[in-house]
Amino acid sequence: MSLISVNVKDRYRDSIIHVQGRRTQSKELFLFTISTCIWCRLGKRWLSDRGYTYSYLEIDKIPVDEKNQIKKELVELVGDAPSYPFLMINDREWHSGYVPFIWEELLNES
Amino acid sequence: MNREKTAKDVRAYVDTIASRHGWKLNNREEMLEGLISGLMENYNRLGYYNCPCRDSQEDAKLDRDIICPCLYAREADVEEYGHCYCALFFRKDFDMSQEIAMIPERRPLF
Repeated sequence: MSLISVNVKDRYRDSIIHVQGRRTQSKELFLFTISTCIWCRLGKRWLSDRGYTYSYLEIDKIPVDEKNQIKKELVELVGDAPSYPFLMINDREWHSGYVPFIWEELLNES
Repeated sequence: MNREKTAKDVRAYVDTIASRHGWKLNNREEMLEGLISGLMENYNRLGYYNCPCRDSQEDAKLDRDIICPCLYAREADVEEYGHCYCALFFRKDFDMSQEIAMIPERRPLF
């Protein structure tokens, strides 16, 4: 990931969950989620319902000290406390929290 | 370690909290069930009701402000936005027919 220095995709290869959608998309979508979080569940469903392919890492499932390294970088990106689901697009753009109309704009392919 | 909580135990807990604070619960069954199951998982893993929508440090002292009902719900969110961060507890006069959206994270940086 270029947005954050922790190489999440390699380091947590075995924990990252991939969801394959039917849609043709050029953008790569990655989420940091919390396994118990209702907004994360709704956000993933929003993506799935629209046929998006995405991957996600449940940060509450990784050791606290490692997780805190990632969170520290998210805090730097946001400039404030991050909300989950935390969406990253093409490792360049991000949005903190599930806000459907913003996600829609960010994911627009046109 | 405390005895494991069941969904029924957690439901009784959130009912008590809602009534104690003069709030009402989310009336969307699926959301409510998801939140109850998130709280149950947190209790059974951590030993306390960590907010299901916020990430834990797995330490009750560090997480004390986000133990449900969180400090932010009690101090401001329910009153100001009509519901807590997770949309579990609502202000009594909140119009439940309107869309429910994420509210800003009020918790300062960890």
